[in-house]
Amino acid sequence: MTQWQQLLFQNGKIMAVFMVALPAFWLVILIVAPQLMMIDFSLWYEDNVTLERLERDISQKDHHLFDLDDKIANLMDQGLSAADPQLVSLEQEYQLLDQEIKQLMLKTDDPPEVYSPKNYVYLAHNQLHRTIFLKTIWSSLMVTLIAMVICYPVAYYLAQVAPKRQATILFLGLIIPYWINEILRTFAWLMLLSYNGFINLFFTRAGLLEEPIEFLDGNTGVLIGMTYAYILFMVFPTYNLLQTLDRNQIDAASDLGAGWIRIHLRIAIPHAKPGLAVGAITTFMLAAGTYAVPAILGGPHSLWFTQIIYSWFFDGGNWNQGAAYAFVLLFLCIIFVMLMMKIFRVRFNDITRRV
Amino acid sequence: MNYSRLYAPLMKIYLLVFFCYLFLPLLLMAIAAFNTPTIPSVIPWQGFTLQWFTLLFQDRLIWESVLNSLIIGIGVVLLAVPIGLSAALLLTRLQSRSQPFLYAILVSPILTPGVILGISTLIFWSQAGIGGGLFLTVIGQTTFIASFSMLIFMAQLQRLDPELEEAALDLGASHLQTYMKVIFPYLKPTFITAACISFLQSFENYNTTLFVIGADTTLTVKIASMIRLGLTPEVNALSVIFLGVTVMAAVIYTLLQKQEDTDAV
Repeated sequence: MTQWQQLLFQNGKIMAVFMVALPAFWLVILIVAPQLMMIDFSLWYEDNVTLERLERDISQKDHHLFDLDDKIANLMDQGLSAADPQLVSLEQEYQLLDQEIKQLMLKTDDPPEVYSPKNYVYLAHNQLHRTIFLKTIWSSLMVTLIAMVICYPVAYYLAQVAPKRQATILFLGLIIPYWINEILRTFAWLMLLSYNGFINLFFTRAGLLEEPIEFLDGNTGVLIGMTYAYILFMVFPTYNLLQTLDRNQIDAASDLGAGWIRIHLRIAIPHAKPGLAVGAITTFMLAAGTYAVPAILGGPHSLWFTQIIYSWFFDGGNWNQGAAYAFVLLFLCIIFVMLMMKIFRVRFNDITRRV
Repeated sequence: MNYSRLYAPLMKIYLLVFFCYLFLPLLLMAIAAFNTPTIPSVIPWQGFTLQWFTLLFQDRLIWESVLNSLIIGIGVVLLAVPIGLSAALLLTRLQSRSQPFLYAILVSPILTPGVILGISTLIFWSQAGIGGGLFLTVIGQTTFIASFSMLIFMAQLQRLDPELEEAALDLGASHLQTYMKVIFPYLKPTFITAACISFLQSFENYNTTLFVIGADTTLTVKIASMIRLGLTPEVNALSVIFLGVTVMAAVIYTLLQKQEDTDAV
């Protein structure tokens, strides 16, 4: 009995169809096919040179057509009958040309697609875009690292140290900002960081600052905003893992004379590895893929990679180029997942089971 | 425990700073909703007002975007909950070596940047002549929200006692009856959780939506465009409402969670 027959046997016809058809639709139509189509798009471009040549050709033929039309009209004015051989041959020529133009027009509707790695080469050769891509990697790594360092003590305290009542209240304190809209969380920092924002006004009025600081001109604001927006995605997976750590292990280590740092390095952190890996992957992915934070907190000189992708789609009108950039971003995230698996020595399934 | 005595005060300070960091920005954002100036600010304080709330409630465009968000949210729930349930059943019941691989692919949308999901959806459906709009937004969001829904159902299905099902079958129930009378009633609270989470995820989504919404707008997209072009304290008034609803929802969630814990004990 194959696995599928077994499924049918154990669940009945209706339920077996339900259990196979819907996931199949999701898997194929929503997940796999769109990704493949995006990769396909990134690998070809519309051959504009040929297209331009076609269009030139058409306009030339159009002129010719007008001339013919004129000629026919003139001859008719001169009183030539429609059956005159000269007029008939002109009329035929006119029809032929008209057909030809229509066929060429059809071709321009469907411009020739040329498969080549051109879209990727473009990114590699565009210095500005390359710099922005590297900046995105670097900043996302920084945000991930900062989030991990800040969140670990909080997660540990909540999972292992806090009394139950206090833990409940603190947990509530984590859920509320976590559930607030990402856009609003970012906006809160716009109010704090802008030139006439809270921080600048507060410190200049208190006499601690001579003049306001331009937080939003470069990348500072984006980094602060991203850390704030995505930090809690690090807390929860770490907390979940640390919660499963047996308190006795810590006590035993402590009784045997292990210091505070050693307990963390040898027991708690190794135990929390899958959680830390999931937190890092999620935070990195959100930071590298964010459009909202740089759009709100970034200055005119601090473009983000996602913003370039967006403009390929909606300002530049070059979806193929945009698809290539998008795939590069996706590839970066895949590399990061693999890197985390290596660093934290966890298997892919350890990660996906903790999402 | 000597280490706890030594580090406890330090830890307290650390937590205090951390929670101030989490809450002060949100608090200032909310307070600015009641300040008079036309630019959202807390200092200087120029007098208490409720005019931003009045303006907000009169803003027709915002209510249209709320309506769109609701429609999309309901559409996503109607798709993501059945898909999540069916996939969870398949993965818990399929005895196959390909199961872990299938699981990995079905979870992968959660680990994929939202913009990528939006872009790939946009490209794929444009081939069928379907452009950005409410329908495509439902499709794009369902891609990853179904994964969350699946995980919620899987967690509950793994706790299902297989004997319940066997008993029903032994007593002569058909497979469909077993599902209808035993398994689905057992999953009833899970349906509610999955629907709520799916709806919230949809309502708050920005990165995927941005690419598939076309000329329409959702509340989240509307807020973002308000912040970038023509910022008024109306946004702050909205944030007060969001905060209020979130605090309430979080308190209810925590109380329910606590109840579940005491029930379990």
